[in-house]
Amino acid sequence: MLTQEMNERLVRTGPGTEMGNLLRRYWIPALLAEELPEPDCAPVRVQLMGERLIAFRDSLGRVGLLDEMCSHRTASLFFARNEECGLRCAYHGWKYDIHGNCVDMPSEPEGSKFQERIKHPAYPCVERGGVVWTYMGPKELQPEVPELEWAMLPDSQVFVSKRLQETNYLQAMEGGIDSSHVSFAHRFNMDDDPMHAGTAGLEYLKADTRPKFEVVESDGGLLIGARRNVDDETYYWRITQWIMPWYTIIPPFGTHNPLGAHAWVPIDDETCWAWSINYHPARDLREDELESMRRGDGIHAKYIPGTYRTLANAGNDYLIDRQAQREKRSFSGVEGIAAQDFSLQESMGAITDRTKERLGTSDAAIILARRRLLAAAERLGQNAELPGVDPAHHRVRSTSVLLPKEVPFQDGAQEALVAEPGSNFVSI
Amino acid sequence: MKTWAWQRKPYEARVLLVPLGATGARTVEQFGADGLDGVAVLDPARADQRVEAVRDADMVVLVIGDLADVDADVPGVMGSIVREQGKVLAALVIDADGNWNTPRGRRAALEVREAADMVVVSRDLDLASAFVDVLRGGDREQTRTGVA
Repeated sequence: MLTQEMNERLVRTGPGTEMGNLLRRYWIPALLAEELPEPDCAPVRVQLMGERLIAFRDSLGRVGLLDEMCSHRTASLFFARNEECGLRCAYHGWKYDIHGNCVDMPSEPEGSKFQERIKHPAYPCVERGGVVWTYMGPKELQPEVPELEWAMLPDSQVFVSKRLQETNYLQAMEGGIDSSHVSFAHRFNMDDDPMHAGTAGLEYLKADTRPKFEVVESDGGLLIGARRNVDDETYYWRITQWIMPWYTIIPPFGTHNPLGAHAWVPIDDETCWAWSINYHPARDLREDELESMRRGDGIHAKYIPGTYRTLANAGNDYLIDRQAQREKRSFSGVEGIAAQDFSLQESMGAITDRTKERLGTSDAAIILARRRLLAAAERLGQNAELPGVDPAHHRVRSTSVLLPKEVPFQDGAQEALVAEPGSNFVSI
Repeated sequence: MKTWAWQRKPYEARVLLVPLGATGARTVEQFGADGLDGVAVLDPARADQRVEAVRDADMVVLVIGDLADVDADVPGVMGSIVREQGKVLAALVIDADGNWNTPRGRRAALEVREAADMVVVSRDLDLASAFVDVLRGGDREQTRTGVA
């Protein structure tokens, strides 16, 4: 459990809040690159950590992310014209480039230098891994661009989706590092995921349904190991990476299936973007795999067409199928691994009251992740290096391996936990 | 943190710390000096007190500083006592290096992970102390005395 004060410190991410200040020190997945498909296309509304923004791709293909409200009379730039390397407000014609410079002010007298004094709030953007990333922190502290393995791969080797989740980001992220829920929430569906198919790992997982957990601090976050007995001398380990402040990499099944990863990014304090990524570092994704991902299988979700809202949602009780629950086709009765997760996370309320929870040893990763976030926030003023900022902290992998029982998993799997460009990952 | 007598607070678990080795004992002393309260400590050398101490606890945490410093038989013994009583056993190793690779350390590591339901390896004392604090839980503002 947390005190109410600690819970508030963790979940509030707006400008000027403690966690907001911390999260703004990292690059942030802002939107899918495909949402801005071509130069001068329609601008897109983006909300991040309570800030209303507008994204656009200019005539040169560069992406800009501006405060949504025009600096003149605060009309929304969603209605702006995207033309000739800038976004022109539809109200009085003020025009901004991707850096927030006001490059035209047709409502003012010719020769006026007023426009030179206007600097519209703008955040730098880069495109990487099919995602537009932005940095919303102090300019002088801007870190290097993230080098998460999936973000560095060619487009043909990665598939990225996002969905709206109606909870605080922390609640969603805690679901991602809560390894013990897998044996319950997804109990009858581990065979369904095509990314699990045909692997020895899946058989080990099903043979020992009472894994034990070990959590080890890493440079960038946590290593979360779940071990199962194979025989008298060997454990089967599934090792999850949590990378500060909001990334996870799911332990894989076999090397022929793609890896999976997530990021949870606050839209405001009561909603977040759940990013889901499949990637393979050594080959292109196959068409059948891509088809399945686009369909919303596995870690992805089915959408209400034309939106990033999920088809199964609180308004329809996540399409719960009591017959499937009775017949043990689904433990929770909700279809799909992603929906099984977010249905339960959303059922806790937008911001769960953590003063009422009772955490046990199987929640160690959650306990430690919260403490690392708080500790990093407390050190913000001390110029200390933040975990998860250095690109070296991003160049990691999850893995699933067999190890002798006497070998610590963080040592035995040391090489497998590092992302070597071009090399295949280690998994059984 | 001298005995395994608790003053419970609402929603508080009775956490019994068992320091293993001299470094484990120093770590537990440091927890106390840093303000961790509401937990009890068992001297692992007092074999006669183990069963009774675990009976009164909700959760037992082995605290380890240096694995090479651990009497490798103790985790297994504590694990058996805890399991027989249906309680939970966690192990907290406060040192990323932990001497896993010395022969004594490897043996101790194996015994610890065989015995414990959960192992946490923390690099710093603050995080380790915070972990125990959360396991204990309880509203620190509302002390409820007299409830064992």
